[in-house]
Amino acid sequence: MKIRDIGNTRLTGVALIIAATCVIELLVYRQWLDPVYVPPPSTILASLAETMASGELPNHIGITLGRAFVAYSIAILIAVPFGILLGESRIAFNLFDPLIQAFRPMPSSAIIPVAILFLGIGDSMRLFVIAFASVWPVLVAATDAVKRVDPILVETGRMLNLSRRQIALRIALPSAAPAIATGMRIGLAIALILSLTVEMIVGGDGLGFFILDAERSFQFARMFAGIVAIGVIGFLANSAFTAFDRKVLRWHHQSVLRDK
Amino acid sequence: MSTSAALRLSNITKEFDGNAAISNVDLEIRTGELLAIIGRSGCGKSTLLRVMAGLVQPTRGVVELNGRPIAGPPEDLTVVFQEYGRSLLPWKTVVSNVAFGLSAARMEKKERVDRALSCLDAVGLLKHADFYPWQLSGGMQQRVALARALARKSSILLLDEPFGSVDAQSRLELQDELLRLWSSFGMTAVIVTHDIDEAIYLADRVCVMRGSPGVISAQAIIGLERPRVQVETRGKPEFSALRRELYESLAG
Ligand SMILES: Nc1ncnc2c1ncn2[C@@H]1O[C@H](COP(=O)(O)OP(=O)(O)OP(=O)(O)O)[C@@H](O)[C@H]1O
Ligand SMILES: [Mg+2]
Repeated sequence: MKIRDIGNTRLTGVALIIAATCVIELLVYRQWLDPVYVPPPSTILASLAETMASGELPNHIGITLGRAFVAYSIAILIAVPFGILLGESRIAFNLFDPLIQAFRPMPSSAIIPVAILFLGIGDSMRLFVIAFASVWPVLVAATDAVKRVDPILVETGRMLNLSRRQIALRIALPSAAPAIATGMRIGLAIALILSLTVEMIVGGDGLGFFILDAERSFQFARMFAGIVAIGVIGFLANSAFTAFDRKVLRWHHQSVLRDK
Repeated sequence: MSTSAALRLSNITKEFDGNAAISNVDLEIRTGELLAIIGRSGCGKSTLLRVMAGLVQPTRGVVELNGRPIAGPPEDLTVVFQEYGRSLLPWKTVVSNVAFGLSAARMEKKERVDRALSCLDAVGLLKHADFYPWQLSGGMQQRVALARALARKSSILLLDEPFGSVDAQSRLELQDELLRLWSSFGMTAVIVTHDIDEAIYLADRVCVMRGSPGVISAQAIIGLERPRVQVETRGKPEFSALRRELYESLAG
């Protein structure tokens, strides 16, 4: 690899993170940043290693991810079929779209008090809030994607004597899959964010609680260790999704490349 | 040739948002006939074909298939769309695309694939069976769409400029392939084309569409003997006479 090729790889991004870490370390070491509030990265990493090794952090991470995953799955199971229905059926669209547009811009944290009122502060409330927030991007993407299916493909299905159901499943769904995947990716990020938010607001357990608890007890290295963990999780979740997407929707990426 | 009408269009008008694309078209296509439709761009040829296929509901008028009004795309009818590339499923390979044409038929998977492969062979694309549509050139995609239509073995085949994107040499070969299949299966076929010579070479009858909204303004019976042979048939004096006649109907 030539030097200038490095700019074309992910290594550049990793190098940037390492460089920034070193700069902060230096700034804190020289006391240009207050080490009480900004612990040096080396201390944060030590705290991260310690809380990981003790099993404390993995436990909270597991709880957060588990919650996000369950709620996200519920959101997808609702949003994908319902989005396809809305994209396929003009009647369903006209019936539900005004309601959806009214709910969608509502900040998800705003429904937390309502959810607490009706569901208490247990797990069902948390799952509801997370699912509620991550349903919208998937629902809107699915509806839109199905509406945008090439009418020639639909005509092709009709000409080949497929039933409405077959056209939905064998033509509209695969055509819409790439756009739905994009909505699902946004939904995944929102599910993670909302898990953390709910944990910070309601407390109890989970990574969000861990971070807030550390901050309140002035253990800033622990707090930053938790934040670093979030960054790593976000990065890994996105990479996993990208890999899945590339594999399953290879036809889409390649045909799009070809069109350029 | 039988004289019964396979498709009968009576007084068909199709409007889009109040603008007529075709107006008061009467057309009868006899069973076993090969009809060509020629006409300038935008005169309503594709609209007429979609109405025949039951894909578009006419604003006024009736389409009958074997004497019965149609309500939607009939089972025994296949269309090759002008937008052939967009009619292929980009997530399926070439052979799966062709086999997909048989989805509604009660057939074993193996049988579908075998038939798909033999039709791909007929259009010279056997080697590309495992490619994806977007890996093929426009002309190759057009032949995949053609293979998918042939695989269905429908008794009525509607082709909308099916050879528009293939090279001149393949075009002549595909014309002959179409004639061979048409005569051996006894199909009824309608082909829309811009090419007057192609219309004469293939058809029993050529209809000329004109105007906006489109109407059928003239027709010519093509009495050239069959089987037709590229150089020989095209060299006949009747061929030139028909070409002149149709050219004048299109232009005049
Ligand atoms: N879905 C549609 N909505 C609105 N107008 C349409 C639609 N389809 C066709 N038209 C109009 O109907 C007229 C005839 O179109 P059509 O596609 O049938 O022409 P054509 O003879 O097939 O042309 P070409 O040779 O370019 O394919 C055009 O004026 C077109 O704008
Ligand atoms: Mg057309």
